[in-house]
Amino acid sequence: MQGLLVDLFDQSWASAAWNVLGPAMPMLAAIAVLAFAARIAWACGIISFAPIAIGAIGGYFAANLLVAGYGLALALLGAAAIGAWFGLVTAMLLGSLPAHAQSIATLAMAAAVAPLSRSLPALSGGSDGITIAAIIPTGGYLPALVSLAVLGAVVVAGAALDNSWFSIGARAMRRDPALAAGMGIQPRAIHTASFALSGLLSGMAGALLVLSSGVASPATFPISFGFLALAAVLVGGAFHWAGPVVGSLIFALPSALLGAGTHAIFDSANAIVVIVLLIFLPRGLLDPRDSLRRDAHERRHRRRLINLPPPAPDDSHRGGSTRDLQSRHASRLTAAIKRRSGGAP
Amino acid sequence: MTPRLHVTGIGKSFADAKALDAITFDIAPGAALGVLGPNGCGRTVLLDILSGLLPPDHGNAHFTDEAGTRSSLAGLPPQDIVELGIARTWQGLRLIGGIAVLDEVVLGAYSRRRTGMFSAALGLPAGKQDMARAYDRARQMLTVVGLGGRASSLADQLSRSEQMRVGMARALTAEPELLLLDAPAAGLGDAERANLAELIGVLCEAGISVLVADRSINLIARCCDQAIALDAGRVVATGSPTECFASAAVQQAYFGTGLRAEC
Repeated sequence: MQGLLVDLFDQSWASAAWNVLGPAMPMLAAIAVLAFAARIAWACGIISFAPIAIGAIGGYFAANLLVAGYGLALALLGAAAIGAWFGLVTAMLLGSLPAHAQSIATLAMAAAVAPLSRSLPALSGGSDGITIAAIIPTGGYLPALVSLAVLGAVVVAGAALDNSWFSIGARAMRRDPALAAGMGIQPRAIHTASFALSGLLSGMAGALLVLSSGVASPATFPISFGFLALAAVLVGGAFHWAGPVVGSLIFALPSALLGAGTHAIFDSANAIVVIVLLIFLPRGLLDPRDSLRRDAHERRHRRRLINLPPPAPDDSHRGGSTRDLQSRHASRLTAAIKRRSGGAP
Repeated sequence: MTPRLHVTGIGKSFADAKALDAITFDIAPGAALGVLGPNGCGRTVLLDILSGLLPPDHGNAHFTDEAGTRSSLAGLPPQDIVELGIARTWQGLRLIGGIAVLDEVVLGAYSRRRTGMFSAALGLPAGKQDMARAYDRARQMLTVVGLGGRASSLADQLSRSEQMRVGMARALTAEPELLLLDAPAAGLGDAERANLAELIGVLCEAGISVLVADRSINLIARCCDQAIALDAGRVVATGSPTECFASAAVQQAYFGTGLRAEC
């Protein structure tokens, strides 16, 4: 397998791309998965820093499993499972608080990661952390491909989740809790599910951060990654499933490509990018509303071209366009409409 | 005939202020009942109680569905009330905004969902079919309210009248047997009120009972056979909308002492 991968990458363009992108891939994927985790909490109206805190728990757990010889797949699964569990616990503890108090509480969680991990050397290796570079060398094919696979799966699931009852319920809950309740949505259930799912992704992201640096230590999970994940969501587009990936590429790619020495420069650049983009594009680079506006504009344009009259929505409920209605409820409504239109002058 | 909704002695106070006092009425299956009254008379509080958002201090309401099953609404959370077959619209419309009309309307089908979030995240066929059914139903209800051509428009760019009908389509997507309309005529012109009255007539013909809570006697006279009039949380008149509006108590509630208006 390793030989096949080496052959695959033994081509000039591929190896050039690999040399540039490969070593950066685990870090890019980790930030993107963290951003997905932050977006899921944001979907319920919570600006959450929990992803980096739960990511640290997942990362330490994965490192311990790797050192104990359980293998990478089990380490990733374990990190995801413990992340989901801590997400669930966080939801239960914070669920009754208002959104702003939950945000501050998650910020406190993120800030507690470094001191806690230093004070629990038996689990975290103390200040030096747990080194896994001897088990899975950093910069190799394996971490890059595993990171890519995890990111791919998260992107596919994220896109599917965007068109789901969870997304519909969370959107209503975020915009108008009273409306959501009146529509039969259980805010607590949506909140709990979102924190559990966000925790699952955070745990995996933590494991990817460990793969990226080769060590699980307080420095592997800085609080700034929590801000970076949220900034990636807001700048990429919180209303679009691909927003976290686009935002992560904008923030994480330059520093990953140019090397660790440029982190400080890109932290400043990131801050400026966030402020400028939020001023001019408050809904982020990807905004589904733009495509709706484009569609409406094109429909109007086409109608003008073929000289059609504008639609008359006020009268359409009298007509026969309801012929294909299927449910009993809808059929009765259709029959009533037909009776009315039959009796109309 | 067993009434679709039987309300007995519902009362509600906020601190010392009495918002509702011993409200009693029935709505028959497929009938429209108007709840008239000036601003602050307690219409919205009544709807909030019937939809489970507020608990009443006393009194109760019973809902009888098409199959004849009678359920008390006392203590039921809003999601259970929606599942029973009672949906509502809102004063001020309360659209989510920033999304397509179809996405706005599909929210109404939430209470009828058959799958959870994991079937969607894992891409299971059951989840996809469930969403497809919900979107079909949302499209159907948009057609019913006359907005079939507006499914992919932005909800915030529609006129007030169209937004009101988006709210109705959203409530109808929950497949209700009783629809509670909160101030549906607010901000509408006369022609739009006539269209709305006709749409309410269609719903009643389809067997859906409708409670129209509005201050507009014009709308209620057009679409309801029976009405109750509220003032300061008390029922001050019952009967046909014209009878209600002609009563001295209602005239005084609307116009003060010494003035009269014709319906």
